[in-house]
Amino acid sequence: MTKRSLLAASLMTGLLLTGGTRALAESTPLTKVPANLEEIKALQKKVQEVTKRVIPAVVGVQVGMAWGSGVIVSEDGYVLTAGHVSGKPGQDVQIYLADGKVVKGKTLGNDRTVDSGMIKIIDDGSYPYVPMGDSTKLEKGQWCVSLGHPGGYNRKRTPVLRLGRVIDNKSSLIQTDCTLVGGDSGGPLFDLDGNVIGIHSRIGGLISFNIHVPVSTFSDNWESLVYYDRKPIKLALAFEKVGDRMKVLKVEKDSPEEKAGLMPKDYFAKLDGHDISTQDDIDAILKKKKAGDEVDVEVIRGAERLTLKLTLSTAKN
Amino acid sequence: MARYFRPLIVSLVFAAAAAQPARAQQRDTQTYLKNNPQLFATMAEVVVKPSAYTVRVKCDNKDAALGTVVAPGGWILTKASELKGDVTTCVLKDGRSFEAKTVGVQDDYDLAMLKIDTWNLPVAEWRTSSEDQVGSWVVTPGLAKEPIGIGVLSVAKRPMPLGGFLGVQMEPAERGVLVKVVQAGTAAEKAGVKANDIVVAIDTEPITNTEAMMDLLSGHKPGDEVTIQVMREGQRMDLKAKLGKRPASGSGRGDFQNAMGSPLSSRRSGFPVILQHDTVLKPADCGGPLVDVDGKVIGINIARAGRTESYAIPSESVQPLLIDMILGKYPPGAGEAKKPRAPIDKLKAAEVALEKAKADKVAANAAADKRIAAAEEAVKKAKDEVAAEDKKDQEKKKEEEKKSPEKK
Repeated sequence: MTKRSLLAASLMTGLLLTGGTRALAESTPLTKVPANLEEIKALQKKVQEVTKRVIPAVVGVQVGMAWGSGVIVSEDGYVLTAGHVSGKPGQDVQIYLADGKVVKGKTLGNDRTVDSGMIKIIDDGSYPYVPMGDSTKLEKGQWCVSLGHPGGYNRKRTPVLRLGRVIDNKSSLIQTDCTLVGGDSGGPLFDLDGNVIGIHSRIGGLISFNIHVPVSTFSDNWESLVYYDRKPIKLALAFEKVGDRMKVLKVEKDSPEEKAGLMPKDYFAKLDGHDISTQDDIDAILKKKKAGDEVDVEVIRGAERLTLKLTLSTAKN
Repeated sequence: MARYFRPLIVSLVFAAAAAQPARAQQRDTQTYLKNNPQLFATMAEVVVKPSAYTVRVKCDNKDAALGTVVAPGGWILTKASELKGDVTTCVLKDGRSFEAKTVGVQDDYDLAMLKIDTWNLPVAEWRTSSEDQVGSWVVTPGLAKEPIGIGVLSVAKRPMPLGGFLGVQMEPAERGVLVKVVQAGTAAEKAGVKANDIVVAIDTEPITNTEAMMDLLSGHKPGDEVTIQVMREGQRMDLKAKLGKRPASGSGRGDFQNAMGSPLSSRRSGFPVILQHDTVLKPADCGGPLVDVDGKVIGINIARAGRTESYAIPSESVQPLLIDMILGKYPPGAGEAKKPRAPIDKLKAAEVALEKAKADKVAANAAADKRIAAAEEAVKKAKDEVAAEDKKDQEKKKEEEKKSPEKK
């Protein structure tokens, strides 16, 4: 499942789910603290509804003797969890669904700098799943709900709900006052529209110190988490940044880049349809590609604009 | 069953760093918390009536618990295990204080019935909790205008038996349950269960999968003796096991995490039925009513059980007990209310306190180091200023001497 089709599916589900509650969302700003009983009851209704809807996708994860939580984000069973839960890629794990069913899974890649990790359910099936949201758009004070299995999965207990608000939102972490404890690791944080916005990671001394991995770190790095054993795609070119553009200095001999017709002194205009100004722009595109993918490279050569077809490959060294 | 959880990474360093947030940051945090002043103010109208039938229970003049007026004639329900001490008093919303007599203790639910000598007190208005959905607001009234705690129902009403702990990591097998690992020092090890055994029955119940085994064990109590029937290398063996106590919320590390941020009630498990909610409550604020947004009592708060959970006894489980407790059918045993804590509980509590003391020390040291560094900096600065002043004075003197050397 590519990230693109996944996001498309998420967007569609998101639209379907929020259609009915849009009116409420407009009249009750996400961050507003209820000021009267009517608003209290409206917020209660929203929390009850979103919980009911998302609970089937919340899972318990057993890795060896250790227990954590996770959330299913695709019908074929991709599970988001914490990096310290899934650990090494390629491990066999058990996934406990909210309805009591147990299925087999395999750990995929992880990023220990933010504590993200992924698992794929390997038993065939059509699994309940939830859409991923955009954690970069979260506002401080925004209401959110946390679900997971504190203390470890318990067959006699549905995933445990906590209500709280976003206290801080940074690129590498979200802090909320939804209380977390051991066993919650890897479980989902949702906005009130039912999108996953975070994955539980760690706690500190204060009761309000609950830290979640922003979900954008998963969606931005989907390919490298899922295809963890692929070598990174590199361009066999040396660049120099000149003003607002990347200028090719050298083209490696006998490389696909040479075969595509790239030459020194070419300026990169577009890669795969995206404007290129910096090395970061190039990296962001290559991150989502795999060896053998063909991309269009638009270069400025003298007074001309040329579009070349390049077959991407992994780093040689 | 193995029940260690993969912990949220928690380090003492983390705890120390969190101990001294900057003033402005603290103020900011207040604004964004769920439990912020605005929400408490809004909920005040929910607890107008409930606060009138809530009482503060004190033992030897210290806050011990909250209580609920449950029947006319001064009958007050509260949490039994918090009643330690010689003199129990109840303080009402209107400020009056009465000495209370304990006339009943229901051990399963840890409830006590008190009698105070007054009439005409407002009485609790109950509602069955069964209609409550996960996500409903739950409000804990105190004696003041605003509630003491606000939260949501986290898990629908459920039984919470103690369960018996065997101590194995299970995996599905073709017919039965495969024992992957036997934990050291557990009932399984003592019974002679070995890794790679396949559990096929417990007592007379055939076991076909892990769920069945978990269900069966959770229906037992610590101390129960069961026969584990296993297949080992083609041979059937019967092993006698005395089930242990399920680690309170996992391993010792779990207990430590659970105590982070809010203290826990000493009696906080093994209730027949509970409502679980996420309100942060002090142990001394348990024992009183838990109400819904209509101000009706759906349960009695019975414990702060962990960092993520507080428990209440559902109203429909409490109500059938009230008459019998009033009529003396649950006499408090001699010293029942002063029952000594089990050694294992004392050990756990002591371990948690030790970890906290160590963490507090780290935090205190970090803070002291900071202050010392700041003070040293200030001393250096001041010294520099003094030196600069002296230099200036010296130069000024020299200038003056140059101008009028005769004056020497």
